[in-house]
Amino acid sequence: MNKSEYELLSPSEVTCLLVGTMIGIGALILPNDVMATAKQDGWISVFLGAIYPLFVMFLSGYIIKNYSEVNILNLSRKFFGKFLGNTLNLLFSFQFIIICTSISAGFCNILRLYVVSFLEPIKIFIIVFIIAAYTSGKGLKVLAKTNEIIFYLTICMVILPIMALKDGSIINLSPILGINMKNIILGSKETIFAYAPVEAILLLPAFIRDKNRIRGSFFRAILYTTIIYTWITFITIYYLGPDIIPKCLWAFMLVTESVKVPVVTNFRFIFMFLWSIILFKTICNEYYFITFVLSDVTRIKRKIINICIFPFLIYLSTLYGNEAQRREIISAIVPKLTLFNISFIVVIVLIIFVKKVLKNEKGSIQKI
Amino acid sequence: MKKVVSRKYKIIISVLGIIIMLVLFTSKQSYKPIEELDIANSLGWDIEKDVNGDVLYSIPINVFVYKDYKQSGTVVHSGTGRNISETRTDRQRKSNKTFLLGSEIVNIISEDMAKHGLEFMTNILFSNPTINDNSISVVCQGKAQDIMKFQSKEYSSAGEYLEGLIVNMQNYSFFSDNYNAIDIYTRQKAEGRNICLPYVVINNCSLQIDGMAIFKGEKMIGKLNMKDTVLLNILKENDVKGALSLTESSNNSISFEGISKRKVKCSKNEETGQYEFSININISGTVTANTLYKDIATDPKVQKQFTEDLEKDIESRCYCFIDRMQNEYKTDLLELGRNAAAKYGRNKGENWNEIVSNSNIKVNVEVKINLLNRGQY
Repeated sequence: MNKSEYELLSPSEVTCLLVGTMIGIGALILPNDVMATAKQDGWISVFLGAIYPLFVMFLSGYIIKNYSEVNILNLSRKFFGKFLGNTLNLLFSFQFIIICTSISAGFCNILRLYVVSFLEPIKIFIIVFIIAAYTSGKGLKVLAKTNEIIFYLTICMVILPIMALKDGSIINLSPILGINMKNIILGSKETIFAYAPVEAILLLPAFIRDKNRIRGSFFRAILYTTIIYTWITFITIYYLGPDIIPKCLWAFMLVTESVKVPVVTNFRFIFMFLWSIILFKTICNEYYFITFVLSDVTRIKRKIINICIFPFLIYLSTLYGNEAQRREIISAIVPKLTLFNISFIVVIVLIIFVKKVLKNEKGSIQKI
Repeated sequence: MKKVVSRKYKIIISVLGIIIMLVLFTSKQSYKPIEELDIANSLGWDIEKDVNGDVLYSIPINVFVYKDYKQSGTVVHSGTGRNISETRTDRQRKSNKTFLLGSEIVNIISEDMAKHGLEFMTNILFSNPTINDNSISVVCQGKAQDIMKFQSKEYSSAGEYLEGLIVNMQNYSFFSDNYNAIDIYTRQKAEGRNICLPYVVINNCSLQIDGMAIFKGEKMIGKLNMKDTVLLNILKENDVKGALSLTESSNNSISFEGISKRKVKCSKNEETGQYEFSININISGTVTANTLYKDIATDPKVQKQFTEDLEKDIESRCYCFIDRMQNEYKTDLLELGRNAAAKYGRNKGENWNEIVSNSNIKVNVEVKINLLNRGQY
């Protein structure tokens, strides 16, 4: 692959791309997810949830170290043969399809709830996917730059609820570690959805300028995401208390009420408007990854696939239904997908490892 | 020269633009001018007895009337029914405009409704996404509808007047700013917490605060007068402002204004399972007027004498109040259970109202003079 220096991603762009891939609708429902088991210690669960992306980081670091120019799709074809490899690759892309459609379904639900109750879901989906298809059609570099800009917006949006610190109370969080450790760890299992699509890094090695710094930018991405997630959960529990969060479908939205801006009667609309930009970006990222995998598997040009999957994704998004149904579907599917992904990566790592050992033995025998 | 926007992009952008316009503006939604909307500035919550022993909810709303693009007064529309849909249907029957929520500033709850329970109201307010969660809630004597219809000359609506009234109670009566809808959500079903809301009456042709309505769970159990309200606020709220005084006669008195800070410590006797609470109150402020103590502006000893007297006075009144709370209301009005739950674990099925009523509560008051104004005349 001969890419000019300009088209390759810089380390900070990789970081922002990964943060952008993770932070989406998950941030808004995270407090609800962990609340059921971990109660007031939910924020610790969210913090512990970072173990999953760290594990992926460890594995992918190993893969990229050994094969820095090819992505995981090529590797799987190389190791498992063309047919089995491509089947596994398709299964690998399922995660992006599910997350892309479920985020847009959730986006539609929250948007219709708070802002545009008069729009039908299908209309929202059409606009969301037009934007996603357009941005993803522009290529990875543009996507990464978009992510970089929106990353700063994300930080601003997340810091704003700091105003809730004066209204809430630390009493809501205590006793800290009052729930036993088992429940906290069970709660951190619920955060997988929020950290899920981080495996996308394995598609990208060929596009990254400085291979040695991948691990650093990956680690930074996980660090930022974990801090943002933990902060969101912390402030929500701090402001509302553990008894109220399960009653509210979008608990973090109630916290944004505490931001009182002069002249603006209701900050919620501004928050919703800015947060939808963040969601658009996440959907664009997933959309790009779907087209990337599909074009790699089918050998059709990415631009054509970009347009072809557009109606298909809209159709899938409409299937989720209301918020409770959507969450049930996600909690049923995402753990299985994650299990598949992680075992897929682990198997590839094992094959690389075994090959290396065999090669070394051969080498040592020849030397003698 | 290469064009900045090539022809291809022009086509793509215009096609996308047309699609977006088509999608967004082909909905049935009609746009209405402000004169054709019922924009509620306050909501009322009344209750009526039904024949078969059930209750009927009556929800009046106070809306602005616009004429020739100018606000020209308010009118009250009321709807009655056994649930929210029936009240809305009933209200729409009597109004020729579209009902719109979102800019309401006050929830006026009638005393009967509060005694019946707030469940109905909280449920509706919580589930509605367009509601203003920062609207202030008050309990009123009589019917909410009458309070709404009460029109003073200076203010365009009862809602606006009440909002100012509650906000400014923070100056002299140790009121906090926690009487909003969101505070009701976070208190009503939270462990170890109880709601209290300002109580409003019409007296001598003016709307005024006449104490505090206190709740046990979702039901109102009583009303405190102004003197008790001040004590409740001192004991319950942290970082609130108010005025205190010692009076011998109207010629001999001292007035003090300050900021009160409150800290609660909780301990549990492991053997008997008894809880013990100590409330530390720290009031620091200004002597605003004094005809009781001589040379208070110049002599620190006199100042000490005064602070000790005031401390003793507040403490004895606080103990009196706590005694009534534990024996008469049997409720944890001071949210002490919240502190205990935070220290000894949540969700253990403890009845904090009962525990606090039977436990030992200590009050330590400390008064500090940090400003002496200009001196003593």
